[in-house]
Amino acid sequence: MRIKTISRSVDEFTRERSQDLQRVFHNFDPSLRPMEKAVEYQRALTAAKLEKIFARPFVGAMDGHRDGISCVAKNPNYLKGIFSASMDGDIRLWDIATRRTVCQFPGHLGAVRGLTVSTDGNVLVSCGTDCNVRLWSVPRPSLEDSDLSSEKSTEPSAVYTCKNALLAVDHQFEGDLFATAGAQLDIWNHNRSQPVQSFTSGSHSVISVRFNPGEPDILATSSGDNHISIYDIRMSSAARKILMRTKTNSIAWNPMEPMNFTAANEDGNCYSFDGRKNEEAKCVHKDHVSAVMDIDFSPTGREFVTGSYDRSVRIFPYNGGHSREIYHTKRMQRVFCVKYSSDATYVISGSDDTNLRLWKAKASEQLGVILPREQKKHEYNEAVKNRYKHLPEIKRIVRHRHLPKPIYKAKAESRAMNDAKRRKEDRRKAHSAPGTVVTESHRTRRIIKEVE
Amino acid sequence: MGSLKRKSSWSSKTLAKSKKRKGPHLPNSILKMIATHKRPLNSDDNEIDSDVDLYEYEEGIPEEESRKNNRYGRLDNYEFKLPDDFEDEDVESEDDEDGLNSEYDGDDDRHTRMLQVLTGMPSAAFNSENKSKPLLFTEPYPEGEFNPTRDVLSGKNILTEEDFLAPLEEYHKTSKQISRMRKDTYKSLVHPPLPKPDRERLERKAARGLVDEEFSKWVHLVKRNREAPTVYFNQEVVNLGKSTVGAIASEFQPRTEFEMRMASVLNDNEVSEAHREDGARLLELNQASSVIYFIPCRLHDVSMEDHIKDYNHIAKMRSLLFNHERKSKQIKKIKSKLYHRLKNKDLRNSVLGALMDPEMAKEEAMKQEARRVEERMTFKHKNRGKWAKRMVRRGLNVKYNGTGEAITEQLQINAELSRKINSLRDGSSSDEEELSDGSDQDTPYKLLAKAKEKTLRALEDDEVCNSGLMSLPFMVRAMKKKNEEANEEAKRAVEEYEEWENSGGAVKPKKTISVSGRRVFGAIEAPKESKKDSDNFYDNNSDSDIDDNDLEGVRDTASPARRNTGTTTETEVTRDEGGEDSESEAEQMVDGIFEVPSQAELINRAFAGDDVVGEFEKEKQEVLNQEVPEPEKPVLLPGWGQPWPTNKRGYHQIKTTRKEEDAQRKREEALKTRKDFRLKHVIISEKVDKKAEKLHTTTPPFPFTSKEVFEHSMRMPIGPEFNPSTVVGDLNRPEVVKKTGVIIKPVKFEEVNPNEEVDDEHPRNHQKPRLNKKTSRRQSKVK
Repeated sequence: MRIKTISRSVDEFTRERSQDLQRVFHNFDPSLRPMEKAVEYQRALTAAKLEKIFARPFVGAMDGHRDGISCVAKNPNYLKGIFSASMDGDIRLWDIATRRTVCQFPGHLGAVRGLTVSTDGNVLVSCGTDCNVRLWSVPRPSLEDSDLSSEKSTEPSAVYTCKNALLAVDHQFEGDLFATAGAQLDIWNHNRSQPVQSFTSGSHSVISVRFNPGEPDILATSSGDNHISIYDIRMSSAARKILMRTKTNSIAWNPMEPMNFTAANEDGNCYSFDGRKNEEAKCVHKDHVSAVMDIDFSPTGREFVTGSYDRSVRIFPYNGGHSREIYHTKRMQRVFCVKYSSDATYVISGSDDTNLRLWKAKASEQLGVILPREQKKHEYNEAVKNRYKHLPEIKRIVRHRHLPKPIYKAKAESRAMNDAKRRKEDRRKAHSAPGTVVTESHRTRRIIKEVE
Repeated sequence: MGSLKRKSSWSSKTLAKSKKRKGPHLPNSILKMIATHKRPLNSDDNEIDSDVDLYEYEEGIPEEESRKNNRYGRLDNYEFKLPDDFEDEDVESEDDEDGLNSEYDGDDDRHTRMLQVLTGMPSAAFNSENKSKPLLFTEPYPEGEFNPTRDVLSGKNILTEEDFLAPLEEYHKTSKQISRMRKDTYKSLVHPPLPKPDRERLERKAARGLVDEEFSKWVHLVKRNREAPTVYFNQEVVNLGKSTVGAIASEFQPRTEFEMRMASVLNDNEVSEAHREDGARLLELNQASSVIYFIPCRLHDVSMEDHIKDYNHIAKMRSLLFNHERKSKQIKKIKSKLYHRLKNKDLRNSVLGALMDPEMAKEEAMKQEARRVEERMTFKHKNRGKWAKRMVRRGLNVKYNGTGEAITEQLQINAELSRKINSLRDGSSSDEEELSDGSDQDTPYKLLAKAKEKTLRALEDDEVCNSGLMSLPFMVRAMKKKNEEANEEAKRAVEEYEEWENSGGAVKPKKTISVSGRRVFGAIEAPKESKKDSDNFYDNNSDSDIDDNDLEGVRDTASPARRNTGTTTETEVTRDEGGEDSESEAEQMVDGIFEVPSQAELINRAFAGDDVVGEFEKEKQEVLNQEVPEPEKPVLLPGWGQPWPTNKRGYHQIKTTRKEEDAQRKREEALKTRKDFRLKHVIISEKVDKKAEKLHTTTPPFPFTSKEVFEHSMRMPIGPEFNPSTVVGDLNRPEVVKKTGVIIKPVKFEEVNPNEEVDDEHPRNHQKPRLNKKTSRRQSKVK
């Protein structure tokens, strides 16, 4: 006679502590679980709803400036240190953990338009409309600083004067050069009062400048005459020039893909370019309804954040046409500067309402220490949601965002206008000889040409 | 250029005027001036062309006039090229001409002065515009050796070094020197710089090539990162500072006064020594106790596990004992006599009590036996009880489930009991069975003889036991009755045996002896034996038409034989009838009297009762009503809303409103758009399963091109319930794995082998920088 018994070794099934989990065995035979798809769909739906419930992106506002914030810089070497500068010439160092001002850098007379920190985090460079470039030594973070409530102020370590007002500054990655943009593009060394190198092009001023983090000698600028230029500072002139229909306010290089950069344009779109093929954009990121003022890439290279004149901050995937997230508050005004934190977890925005705001990059992410089991659960939820994201109900829930009324209306209006244009073009195409009316793709529509 | 054009147009106007006025006889000075402004050999043609266009356009000199100039000898050529020269003047030095020009254009001078005043810039800035100004000079002096002709000046018949050196080349000595000199002259020849836009364009082209090369070296790295299912950031161990309390405490420095005092106490030598001593003593004590405890273990030389086992066992026994004692004490405390009496009685009655007292055990056994006998003797389990009989008679057992069940239960108990009896009997008469087994091959005669003998013996020892239960009067009576019955049966059996013996065993038995369990138990063995024999008999007669199953029935049921025969006859009868019918039909067919109906008729006859088409239509209508429901009719409450009968027939006439009409029309339209609208015999359901719909998309989403691929991507579940835990992590891993609070550095260049297979098994390896010598060399070269 055969007797079937369940035999389990005691050692394997004895828990060390009462809080430990009981071992559970599953039979993975699919015939025993015919409803797996329905089960997972339901879980995805629940996960999508939970994500909505837990979406609390706003961490806090940092109040202190007396005028609109014009630029923000992050310390590449210290996660908590964020610099901000305002239109009245005030520069502050914030500790974003406590959300308090650690130090002030007084000196600029006009608006500060550019702010950057060297890669080692020791030198802060600021420039402004008072034609001055000021170099500051950044106070070292220590435990005592966080305890003290009083704010320190420091003197600039160097002041260099130019002929023209300066609009932007950026520091080379792992080098001691920095570039300022104004009437011309100047390359400076920390220790020299005169620019090491200057690039002039056309009569319009350069609006923004950004060094490539992967290739430290390459930088991109945008100018008032709607040009985007790529320079190699070892050469005497620009390497590439793209002429667009509208002005580009800011440029960000992808830190993980050194040939790719994204330009924040005045027409409310962002254009991702491959630095080698500029006749058409790789991707057009649409969603803002007003000019995009600033852009910054996530250090992971998979996302970037934009701040717009329409009083909203959006987060785009690097290869997606539409934003995955929009952040706005009632009190937030025109956003002039945004930064992605160096650990790709937070987003900092500075706006016209004199406040610096700290957001989570993933709205529903759980902060703090997460136990492995919890982490697994989160991962599973994310994976399931990702798998069933195309199904109508889940898509609806995941995509839904509450928009402020002005943005909502502006979007509806622009949609109507675009529809009308498309209709008109379709009709024109239908009533003309085939091949005579050619629809230009969105990727090339706003690019006039690449200057030879 | 714009300003240049303006100036040039002005000057050309003057030129044209002079031409017009003077015709071919141009003043020499003008001609000379023109000659001095002739263009050098290598100037940009494009620019000149553009200027020519502008000149011609603005001047509007008729073609004829320019042609007319042909008449004036060698000047014609020059005149035609005149505008070309002006362009070159920009490139060449202009200051010299400024001085010359000043006398001719007083207006210009004034203009520049005005500009200077207005803008505050030096006049040079504005004078530069003058360089484009073409001027006419005539040659006031005659041509000669020292006054070169126009041709010479325009570079047509210019004398070069070669002209002078050509005659010298015939001499071999000098030829080498000449060639060397020639080389030098070519070297020292400096081309003028290109215009700025061109220059910039060329520079950009060069820079572009370099930058593109820089970018292209990243392609493999970027491609690998993009294609990786998961990108890892900062997975290597990162020092996040002190993580444990101990680490923080170890670096503690006393700062405040209190902390200082505490530290002084804690670090005091005496205190620490005392503490250590105390600790040592405590440790000693501990060790001593443990030694005492472990001594027995060593004595017995038992292993640790056994010892623990023993120890546990002893502990368990102790606790049990303790509990028992406590309980008994509790019971002892109870004062109720009744309780104790009942308890003692229970104890006595229980098996435990029986074990204690042998007499009691015997008594108990007797009692149990009596109970059993009583049960077996009654007809209780055979549905012969009063109740059962009544139930069966009235057919209530069929009507009510409960009664039916009860009756079947009784029968079951009966069957069980009888089986028990059989098994008992088997045990008791094993030798007999052996005998019978041996007699399997025996002839029926022998068997019959044996049976007869046994029956007779049974008849003879018809004794009645008078002790115990059997001594009861009703029992005696019952036994008597049963005995008589048994005897009679036995006698009949004996008679039969005799008959069979006489007939030679050829005659089949008509009727088997009915057997009952009670009879078997009742100390009379005769019928049992006979039955047994009959069983054997049947077994031996394998050719008989009653099979083994029926034999089983014979054993168990009261009147099996009769029933068996009944069933067989019935089947036979039916078979016979069928045979007769078929035969009769066949006869009919053969005779030709039967008329063969047509196929359609046959079908009509077959489906005479049912209206298939009508049913289908009805069904379709139902489906339509379900999928496209009819609009709701307005509900009328009696006595409300409508006046009293308005219809001819006297019913309420319900006025259809426009709304209803619309709804009706809509429904009709919806019906018309259905796929099965024109198909009379088809129903195509257009019902959408809403619950299933949410699990599907209307079209495959963007990255997927076909439905199959999309479905395939969602085929396998990824949850921990459906996958082993070793795989779940890989299945659910997000695209980007990073650590919060750790700075992510930008990408670093590393050499990637583009032909390398991407191993998904160990994606973490991708992130490891694999720098080799080649990379570093290349990097240094780039810088």
